[in-house]
Parts: sequence; structure tokens; C-alpha cells
Amino acid sequence: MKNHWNHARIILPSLLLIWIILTTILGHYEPDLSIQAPQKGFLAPEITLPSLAGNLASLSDYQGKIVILNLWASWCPPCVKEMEAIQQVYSDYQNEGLTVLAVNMTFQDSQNDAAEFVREKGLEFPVLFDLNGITADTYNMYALPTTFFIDRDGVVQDVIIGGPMSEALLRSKIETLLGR
Amino acid sequence: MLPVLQIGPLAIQTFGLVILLSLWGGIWLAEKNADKFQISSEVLDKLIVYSLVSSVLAARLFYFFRYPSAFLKSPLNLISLNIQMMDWSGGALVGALIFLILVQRRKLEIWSVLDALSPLLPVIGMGLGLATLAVGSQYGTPTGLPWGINLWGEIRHPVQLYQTFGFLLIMIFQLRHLKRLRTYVENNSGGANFPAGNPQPGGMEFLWILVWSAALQILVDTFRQDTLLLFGRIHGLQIISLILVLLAILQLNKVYSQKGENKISQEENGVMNGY
Repeated sequence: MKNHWNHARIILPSLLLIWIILTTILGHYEPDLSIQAPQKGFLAPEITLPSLAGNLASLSDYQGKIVILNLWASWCPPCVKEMEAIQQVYSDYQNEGLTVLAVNMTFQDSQNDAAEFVREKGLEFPVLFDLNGITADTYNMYALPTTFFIDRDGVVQDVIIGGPMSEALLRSKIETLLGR
Repeated sequence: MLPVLQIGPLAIQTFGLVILLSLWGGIWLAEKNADKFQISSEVLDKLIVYSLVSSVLAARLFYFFRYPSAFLKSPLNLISLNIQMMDWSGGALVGALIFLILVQRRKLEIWSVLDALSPLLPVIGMGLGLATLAVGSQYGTPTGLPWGINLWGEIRHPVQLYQTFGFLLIMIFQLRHLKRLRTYVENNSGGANFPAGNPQPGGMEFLWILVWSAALQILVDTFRQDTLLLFGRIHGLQIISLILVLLAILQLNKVYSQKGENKISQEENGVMNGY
């Protein structure tokens, strides 16, 4: 028994150390930075959608800005509840390079209801319409609301599924993206 | 991937659900085997509950201290149900501190308590593997192997499953060992210099589980893409795990030396061959 232990206490850490050295030398992998995926660390997938303002808007139009991409619907209670907080942080941080893209899941909502909601609440940020569910599919929407925090380089830094998000949560995420 | 479980109008975050279930399962297993280490399940239960509750509260407080200006305009958000506003590393630190204080106050033998808690580790490990698979985090490097999974634009090592199966193996071996320990405890009154009914020195169970769990992390982390890299190449988690292995082996060395001095033949008892 003592011999087994004497051998094990040397062999085991030695083997693990050799494994770590081999991993460091041979196992290095350079990630493909061009891959787009709705997941932290990846480039946010490009979207081009019609907006409430009447024009076509793309995510790439906002390159260099911090983007909060929020998937929502007017019939979704937590989506509706968090809009006030989103509007507040948009007002406070807009001049520091923040923008909000509120993508309405119009393929399971009504464009009129969504537009009416935006008018009632006085939302000032761009509202886009996902008419055929392509954005929902691209961004792996499993539940509403779903929010993506995208940095100035277009990389997803955080994903929040569900809500409503509190104002403090939004501010803390934005401040991280602002480097504070 | 299944980040959310939709049950009627309810959308349940799968990550949280799996972690809760694994915590519950691990605690149940630990309490069931606590008597082998001379710890009552009620005492263990209280230690766990107080440590967990203090961890959760501390996690929120630490988050507040990281982003105080975020709470200035809406201070009531301090008690908001947003689970994303938690600093879990701070919470874990406070939880561990509370745990140590409680152990000291109740005059418990720390190594026996850690032994009693050791079944929790592999179960939580399995839960973490499944939870990260559900949300697609902790993903692997690209591979051409036939068991690769399609995730985030490439076919990748299913490192979440490697972790889950690795911890499953550790749990199976531990359960077999605990069964033999129970048989020994029921048939014997204990060896010299150990508490009655406990055939192995305190700490041995916990330390060996720590060694195998850390070794598993070293192996699995090789295939993780979103892992902490030091100087752009060295896997930080592997280094931390190796340090844990070395510390555990140092302590085990003391334990085995003490065993040798006590001249107790574990081979005769046929209990300790599991490790």
C-alpha cells in the first residue's frame, strides 16, 4: 500500500504536468473570428430589417456603437415592463455611443399593435420589424424577451434570456461595455 | 441546445433548473452518507443551508459593490429578481467563510465535514456539464471526430458531455467505495486512533475526490475553446487544477504517513483499495 502511494504521488502529478505542457505546445487553437453567432464571444449576426421610421436598418449601420439588441413582442408582459427601463438608459447613455435596436417579432405580433405601443410609451430608439421570423431564427430566440449586449466591435458580450430586466442590470451591463 | 423550458406560460431557464436539481441531488447523497464520517445529516443540512443562503446574499452585495452607480437611480433594484445581477465568486468566498465559522463554532472536525460533503462535488460537476450544454456555453474546439456536435457554426468537441461523463465515473467509483465503507462500519468498531466506526483518516475521501475532479478538469479543458488563457496559450484552469492536485497530494501524504505510524493495515480490512 505504501509503495502504491509512493508511486502514485509522483506519477499522477507528473502525468498531468506532461499533459498540460503538451496541451500548451500542441493544443493551441486560433479561433475563427469571422464566425457569426448569437453567443458571447462571437460576432453578432448581421440583420437587415424594415424599421418603424420606414427605412431599412442593418446592425452594421451601428458599427462602433454599443448596441442593445432586444427581441420583443407587444403581447409579452415582461417585454412591455422592461421597455421603460430600456428607454431610460437609452436617454442617459445615448451620447456615450449607446443605441438600442428593439426588434419586434412581428411574425407572431401585429405591426399596428407594436407601433401603437411604441407611440404610447414614447420610445425613442429604433424599432425594427421581423416580419418573417428570420431574425428570431438567426438569434436562436427561445423565449421573449431576449436581449443581446454587443460591443463597439460588433462582438456579443452578454445574452439575457427572459425579463423584465431591471434598470440597474441594464446600467451595469452598459458600464461594462463602456469600460467602467 | 435548450436554454429555456417552455411549460405553458412559464419559461424556465434550463441552466438554473439543472444546477438546482444537481444541488438537490448532491445534498441528498451527502446527507445519506454523512454518518460514515461521524457527521449527522441534520448538522450537515444546516451547514449547507446557511452557507448557500449567505452565498446568494453576498453574491448580490458584491455585484452592488462592483457597480454602485448602476443602483443610484434605482436603489430598489438591489432586491430585484434578476439572477444576472450576481457576483458568484464573491458569493462563494463568503459562503466558504460562513461555512468555516459554523464548523468552528460547532466544534466539528473540518476534515470529517469535508468528507461528508465530498459526494456533492461530482454531482455538481455533472450538473454543470449538462447546464452548460443546455445553453451552449463552455463550448469545445472544432473537431472532425464522429461524436462532434454542431454548435456555433462548427462541429465541436462536446466538452460539456466529456465533463458530465467524467464526473459520472467519479461518482460511480465513489458510491462503490462508500458502500464498502458502510459495510466495514457496520461490521467493525473502528481502528485504533480513528473515531469509532470510521476506518479511514479524516480528509481522505474529500482529498481523493478533489484529486480526480481536478485531474478531470485538466483533461477536459484541453478541448475547451472559451477557456481562460494565460499569455495567450496556457490554459489557466489547467494550472489552477494542477495546483489543487499538488495541494491535495501534499495533504494526503500527511494522512498516509499518519496511517503508517498508526500501523493500521487497511489491506487487511479490505476497505481502502478503492483509491
